[in-house]
Amino acid sequence: MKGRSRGVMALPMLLIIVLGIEGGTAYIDAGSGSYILQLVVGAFVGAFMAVGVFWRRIRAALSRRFSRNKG
Amino acid sequence: MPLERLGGSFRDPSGFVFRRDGDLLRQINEVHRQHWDHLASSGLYDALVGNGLMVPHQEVDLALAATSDAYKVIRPEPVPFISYPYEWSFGQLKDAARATLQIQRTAIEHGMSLRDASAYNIQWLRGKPVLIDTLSFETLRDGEPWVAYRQFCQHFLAPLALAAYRDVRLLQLSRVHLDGVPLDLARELLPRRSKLRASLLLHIHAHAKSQKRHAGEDPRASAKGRKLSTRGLQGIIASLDSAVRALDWQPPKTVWTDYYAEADHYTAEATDHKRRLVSKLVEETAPSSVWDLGGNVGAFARIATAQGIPTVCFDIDPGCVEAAYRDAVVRDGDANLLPLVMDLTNPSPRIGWENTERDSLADRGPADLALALALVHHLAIGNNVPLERVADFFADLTDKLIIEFVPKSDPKAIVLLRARDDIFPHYTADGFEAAFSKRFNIERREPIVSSERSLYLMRRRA
Repeated sequence: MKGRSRGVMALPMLLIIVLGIEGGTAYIDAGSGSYILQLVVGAFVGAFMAVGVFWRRIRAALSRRFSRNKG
Repeated sequence: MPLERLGGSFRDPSGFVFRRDGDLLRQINEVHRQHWDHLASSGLYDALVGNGLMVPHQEVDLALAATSDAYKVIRPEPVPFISYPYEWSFGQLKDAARATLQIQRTAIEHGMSLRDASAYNIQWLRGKPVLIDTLSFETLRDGEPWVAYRQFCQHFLAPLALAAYRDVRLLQLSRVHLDGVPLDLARELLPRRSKLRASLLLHIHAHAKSQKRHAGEDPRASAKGRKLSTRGLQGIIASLDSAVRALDWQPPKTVWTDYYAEADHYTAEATDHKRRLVSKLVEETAPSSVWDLGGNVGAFARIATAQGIPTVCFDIDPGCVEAAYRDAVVRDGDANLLPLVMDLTNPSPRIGWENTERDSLADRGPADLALALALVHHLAIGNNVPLERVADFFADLTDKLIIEFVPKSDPKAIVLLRARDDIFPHYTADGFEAAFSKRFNIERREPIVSSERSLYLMRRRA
């Protein structure tokens, strides 16, 4: 649930960035939009994953600390 | 030595598939050398084959190459039956999608990446989806997005989302759009509520809009030096996997899926006798392959698979095919069964470039033995196909045939005739035998007890 709420908060900002990039419209190149979208989405998703890894480490350290105190 | 390049293998300059004296081979061209070597040296090949995600192959003599720019020639393990995404059920497409993402995840871990994510690169081997295109990998380009992202969304995510949110019959769009469902079309067809799911909002709705906005741009120039970290790339794959995982479709309780449960057309004795007859005839004919035409949820096809025979079970109803896939293949692990969606009155045609890229149903035959049980009345009465034409069609598909004749007096035939005139004076046992005798030798006729139906064993005339 926490991950989902983080995603919901970031989503509007992400879409503004993706769709706000101005570009030419000479002819269809289906790959360009996909490429650019990934750069933006990937930066956010990568950051969330990094936060997730960091958060899991903190939680593991805290639970170790508390279980030691209990023991 | 007769050499034949396969119709669907021409777009990739890295190599192609061909047959030499009937032997299926794949050539890897010199231009792909570095990536090919990396596939083995990185351990990716062993990892994927070990996990049953890629078809194994053997390297063969370079003298067997088709052209002079060959670097290697391999002989992949043959897949018993080549099927296409527009013939798969929802669950099959979903499992193929997740296999593709699992392959990409494994590739990234080994410093490689899929160069394409075509659903046609996935086939069914021993009941599991496997990658058949061993040329699909390239060395991971540092900081670059996934080149196959668009293709994955078009080939897998868009049709799955349309099936889950609108109608499962929209999986057939893949037959019209060979490079997958265009995202602007998917966006148009999906309901607004699909935007409430963040993964679909991103990978389909925003993706389609981004495609339109950035059409024709040089993506690297537009990126203005921005790079995608490996963690970001893995995050996109994880996000796609969560999008696919969340999509679901449950087969409705249709007339067809209730067919066996109701059994109002058969007594238990007749059903049991029919099963025993089919089992005996399959055992006697010892076929190398079986096609069950109009096979419903695969109850009779499984008689053949239980005898170790690779069997394809075709049915027009996506619900039946889904049920057969979930129950027989996934739950019971029946590795010999391949259920597929097929309308026999409009079977898969040859399509694609020069109409040779994807084979028709008949091109992929003939089967050694076909089952046509409780089918002929649907074709002849339900679809007005003359019995001679039914016999011609079956003769194109199979060498041997176990076929059930359902007379007009049968409860199921009566239902078909209830709302129409009987314009079928030749639809009798004698008429059936006369029509089929033109294309087949009738070897046996076995009446089914407690019914007016009969089973026939036939062999195609030379």
